[in-house]
Amino acid sequence: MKYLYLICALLVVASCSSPKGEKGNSSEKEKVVNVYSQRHYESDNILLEKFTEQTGIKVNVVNAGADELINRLEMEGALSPADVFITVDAARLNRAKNKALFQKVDLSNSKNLKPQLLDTDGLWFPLTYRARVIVYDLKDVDPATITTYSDLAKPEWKDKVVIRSSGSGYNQSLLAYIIEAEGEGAAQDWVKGVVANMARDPKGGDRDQIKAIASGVGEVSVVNTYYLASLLNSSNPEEVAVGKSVGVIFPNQEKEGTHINVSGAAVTKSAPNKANAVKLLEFLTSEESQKFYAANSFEYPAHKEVPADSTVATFGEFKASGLAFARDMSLTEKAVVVFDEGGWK
Amino acid sequence: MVLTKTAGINFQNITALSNTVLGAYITNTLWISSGVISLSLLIGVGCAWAITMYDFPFRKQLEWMLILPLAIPTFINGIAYAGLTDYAGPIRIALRATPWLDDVYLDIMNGWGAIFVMSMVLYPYIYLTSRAAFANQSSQLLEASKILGATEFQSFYKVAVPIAWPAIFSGLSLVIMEVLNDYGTVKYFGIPTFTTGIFKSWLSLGDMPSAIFLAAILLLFVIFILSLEWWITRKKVISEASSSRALTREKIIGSKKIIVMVGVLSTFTLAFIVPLGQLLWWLNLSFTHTNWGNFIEIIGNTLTLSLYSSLIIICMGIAIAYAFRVLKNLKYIQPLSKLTSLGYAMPGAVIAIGIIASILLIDNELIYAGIYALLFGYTVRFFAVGYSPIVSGLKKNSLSIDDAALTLGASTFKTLIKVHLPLIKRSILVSLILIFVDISKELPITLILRPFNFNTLATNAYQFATDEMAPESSAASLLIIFVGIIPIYILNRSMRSKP
Repeated sequence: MKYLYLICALLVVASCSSPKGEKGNSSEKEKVVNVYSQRHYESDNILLEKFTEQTGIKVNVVNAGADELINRLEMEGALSPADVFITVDAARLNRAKNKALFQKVDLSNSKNLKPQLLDTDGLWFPLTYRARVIVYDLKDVDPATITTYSDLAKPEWKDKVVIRSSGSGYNQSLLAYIIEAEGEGAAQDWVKGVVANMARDPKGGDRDQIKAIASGVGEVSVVNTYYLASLLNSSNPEEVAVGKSVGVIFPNQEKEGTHINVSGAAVTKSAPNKANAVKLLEFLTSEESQKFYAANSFEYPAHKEVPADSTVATFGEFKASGLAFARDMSLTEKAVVVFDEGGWK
Repeated sequence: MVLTKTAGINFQNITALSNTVLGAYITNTLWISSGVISLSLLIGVGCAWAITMYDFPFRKQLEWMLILPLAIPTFINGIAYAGLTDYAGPIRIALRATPWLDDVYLDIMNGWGAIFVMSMVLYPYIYLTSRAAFANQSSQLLEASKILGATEFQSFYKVAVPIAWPAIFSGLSLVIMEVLNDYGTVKYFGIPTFTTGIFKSWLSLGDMPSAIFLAAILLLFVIFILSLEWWITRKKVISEASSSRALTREKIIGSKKIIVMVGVLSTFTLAFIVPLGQLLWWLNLSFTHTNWGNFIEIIGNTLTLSLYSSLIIICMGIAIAYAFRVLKNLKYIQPLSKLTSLGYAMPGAVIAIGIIASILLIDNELIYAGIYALLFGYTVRFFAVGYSPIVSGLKKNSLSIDDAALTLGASTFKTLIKVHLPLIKRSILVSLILIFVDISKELPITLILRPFNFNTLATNAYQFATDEMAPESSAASLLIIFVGIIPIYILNRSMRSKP
């Protein structure tokens, strides 16, 4: 019976620790903005706290996967408490846009953002972007032998490619970009070629691929730049050593440019706190916040004048591709099918 | 309720999936689940037998420590083992410093590794249920089998296991459902399973109805397993040890002692000490830049949710289990009671979307009212965990008890309160703690249904883990484990003490 007392005591403690999460409040006078965000980084929280300090507007956040949040927005419809939607994939931004979940707002900062990253209809705004680059073993690989993603499908790389699974959103958007730029046939050939060259079944995250190169399992891989940068800034010295064992190649410089994807934000159609939502977007696209993004998440800032972080800058300048692959989800969906048909696990 | 969204299935997507990869997904799922079933049966039943039958050093401590891996979320165990064996992990660092071994490449991220990693955290379900069964069985039976000339192994598998089988199976069915809905570990290890197909349809193809259709197929499979359980247990008369003498544990010596101790100790080491050690090493690396201030609130949130929802599930579980008991004459509806357990086999994210849909049907405003949506989601998801101990507890109360109470003029309700509840209070505690531990680890439902600015230990760990920042996620992971250890300790004490 004494456990019953324990439970009662815990219940009392638990009720004292309430209120826990607050419900999204829609009254303007309380000065809040409600955010549905896929970005779950600690540095983003610090940035949002700065916004509250500057404006007195409280930021309420729910973090979850992009598609879960889009489904939730869709189901909630006009009743949704969300004011701002943030995700890390242009195709998902356009999926939500095509479902008419956003509203058009004027952002004075948008003229300062890199024009090739902007949404043609101005319904969402880029915050940062990421490049998907080829990394290679500094010991064994001559970087001059690789200039395009297609090179990885050449027979000379047999048993030397390590890359993550086709379930990865980053690989799906890369293949969507290849389908858009070179057509479905070329994409199918590329998938077949890379699958034939794989040193092992796809597994793990981007960092794990770099570690596999350091382990000698493979010699080349395709990863996002900020994962390499975060390895180079790791608290584990062994991980720093892993990061230093590879070099970076920006592929397709003679063609459309290296594949990039953006992280972006939009004001939702039913936003109960629209004015505050716009203030938040102005803040996130300001020069100050863009510098903060660059320094803390190792992504490339969307702002024209803000340079990349020093670690990322050592990878070099590059020509970035456009975002045509993400105009809607159809190319990403096609990419999933091409991966499956080509036997990319 | 999840099924309400099935209308409008895109059969084109399903055909495309089934033409290419669905076969492989099913094969992988069957392979991984049979692997986990075999390994966790071997470990769970083996350890339960050793702890119940033999006396050896540290037996008392190991008895409860063997349950501890239950507190480790499967996905966290996966990244801990992957981190342990990867290039920057301690094993490889040590190997690189050793001549001849400096080029060894360890790889746990494959099917066998996934089976190992999952079995290590899931075997406690089987250990718990089979240990209780072994401890309850009559010592005369085993003695009789010995007198009749059976070897110890023969008494084990011809007498003890068949008697304990319903209990073992109830633990096993929880293991099967956990394996089927796991997504994090198999995804990280690069093994596409049936659940991968569900998420591919939903997330990459944006086709929710197809995802739900596939989830429904998974459910059919689970219904099959649950009916199997019902069929196996339907004729079993639970033989209580009644007042027979307690088992006397055999003091083992020599090679038998060594084998038993090595088996039990290595299980505990691999399942608990090793992942805990890896997490502590990561904590050491990330200690200085962990934001400790938030954790008090986060722990408070985790405890509140786990406690409230376990109480809700217990009350509902008792009500439903008792209702089915009272309606005992309607034989054909008995299997229906199993249906309430289906939520446990569903991927949490699919449940979460179903919950939003059904909440919006009931009341549009309700979803924003704090943690109610979460409590609803947990109840659907974890009902099975709390329900099955209560049912098996109630089953042990002979039906003549009800008749006696009725004859003495007690109402049906009064019989429940005054007679049954005191008799099954241990089963209630077991289910309370199992739910509590499960909810403190839960992720997908919490992520999508939580109110604004609301974090639990699991969401905090996930935030870093998905960002491939394993060291930074270790603080929250360790706290999840410690939050789970206390109730597990209580659970064991209550199971050991006499009712």
